[in-house]
Amino acid sequence: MTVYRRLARSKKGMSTIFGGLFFVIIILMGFNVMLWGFIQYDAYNHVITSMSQRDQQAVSENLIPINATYPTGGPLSVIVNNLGGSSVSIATIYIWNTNTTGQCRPTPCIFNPPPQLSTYFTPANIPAGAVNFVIHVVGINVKDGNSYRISLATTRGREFNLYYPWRFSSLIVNGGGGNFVTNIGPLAVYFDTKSFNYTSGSQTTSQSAFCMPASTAVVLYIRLANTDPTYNVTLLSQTGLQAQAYGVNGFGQFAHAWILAPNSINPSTNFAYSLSSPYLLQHAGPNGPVPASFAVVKIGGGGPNTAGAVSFGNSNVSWITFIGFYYFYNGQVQGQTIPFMDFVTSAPNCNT
Amino acid sequence: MSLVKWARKTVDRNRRSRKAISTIMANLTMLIIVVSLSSLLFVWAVSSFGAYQGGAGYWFSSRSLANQERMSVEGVYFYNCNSLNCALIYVRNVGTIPFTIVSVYINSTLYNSPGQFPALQVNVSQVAPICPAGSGSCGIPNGGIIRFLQPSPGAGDTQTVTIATQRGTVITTTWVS
Repeated sequence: MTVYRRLARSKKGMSTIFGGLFFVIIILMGFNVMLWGFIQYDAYNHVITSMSQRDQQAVSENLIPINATYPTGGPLSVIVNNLGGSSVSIATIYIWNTNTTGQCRPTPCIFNPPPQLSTYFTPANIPAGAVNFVIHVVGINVKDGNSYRISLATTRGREFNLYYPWRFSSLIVNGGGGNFVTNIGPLAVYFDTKSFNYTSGSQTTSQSAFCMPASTAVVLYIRLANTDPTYNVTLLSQTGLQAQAYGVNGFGQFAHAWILAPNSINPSTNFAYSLSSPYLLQHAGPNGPVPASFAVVKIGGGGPNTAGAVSFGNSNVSWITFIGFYYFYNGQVQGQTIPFMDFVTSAPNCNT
Repeated sequence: MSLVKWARKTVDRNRRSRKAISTIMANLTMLIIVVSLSSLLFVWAVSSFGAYQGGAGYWFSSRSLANQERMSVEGVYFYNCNSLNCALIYVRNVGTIPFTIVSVYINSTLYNSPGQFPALQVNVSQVAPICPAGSGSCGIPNGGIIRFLQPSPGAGDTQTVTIATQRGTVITTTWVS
């Protein structure tokens, strides 16, 4: 009998072989389960990683609203900077009227990118690093005296908000619609070309007061807001203005005026200020001043609690101006002076 | 002749012998025990691994799907409508799969589907219209209305709005009424 035949017919070690095979099968089954688990966990981790990346990209969006302007005839221009690390796509713009009457309330006006025909906004994609990027919102007139909250919703799920008219921008000038504001105490005092105005004669529409006629009675308009989120502000009758002409001595060197009643309009129609009908500026809300926080203060009275109009006698000079606001706030009277306002009277360059 | 007789006797003696029977029986018994226990172990292993794979697979797949859900509450507007307090809620799907909104909490008061509004599937990149039950169509424009019988939300008060999906994703936001 050959060696091969002896081995083939031998039964020695068969149980070991079968036992080993069985053991290997069991081990392979366990290994297969482990492998399956690894694959599942890898797929799960892939989802977690990719979604984390999306979240990080969403968090890295850094859109800075700069201004919102509405030139005559429109459209509404929303100006933003993209200081984030990636481009931002605006999915929808919500415009909501914060007042109690008017359009876009109580539900907001909604604007989507083209192909919408009548109401839309464009462009929607803001590249990274864009500065003063203008988004045109077509199909709405926001220059109707109401205040609007504009919400920019991005495709990654972030929201960036701003208000029209723009609030509390200090230096931004864009398209002639920029604002200048001085914040002292609870008050924000606006000195842009639309907020520091005057009327003369029997005018009912005010105009910019940075160039005024000399030796003409005027009533000054100054827009201010209460920025305190807790307490109201009531202006008191000692609130007034003093202007001094540069380079002028003696008579006509100074001009003074005091606060008038809110229903005063012009030098022909003005009333003495009284606490029975005061300028009461409501406290601001969580998102800034509410419409009732704003007031346009008329100044021109000959003294506290006195009606009248003010005149600036010298031509072609500029006037350094101090405005003192004296008010009731948080249970106490308090006051601040806004320094170094400047305007000119009857200057040749007023119309340039 | 004598050799033949000797061989026959030897064969007869071996055939009738009972020696080593117990060894054979013991081996057979051990074989049966080992085979049966091995079979039991195999069946248990298969069922256990199967159960593990089933449970773990469901967990992985459900959590993977839930992790792909992303909601963005773009706006909530509170106002009075027909002497009721209404809340208009805009929810955008910024994830990678559609989700279904089944519950809305406004200041911890639950409004769920289908009682207060129908279960609402929101596709990717779309804004959800959350409609009141039985209204047929969603509110205008492009959004839904949830009416809630609560004290009128005061101007400037904060309102907490929580949205929950069918897969268990929850987002809580705070808004000023």
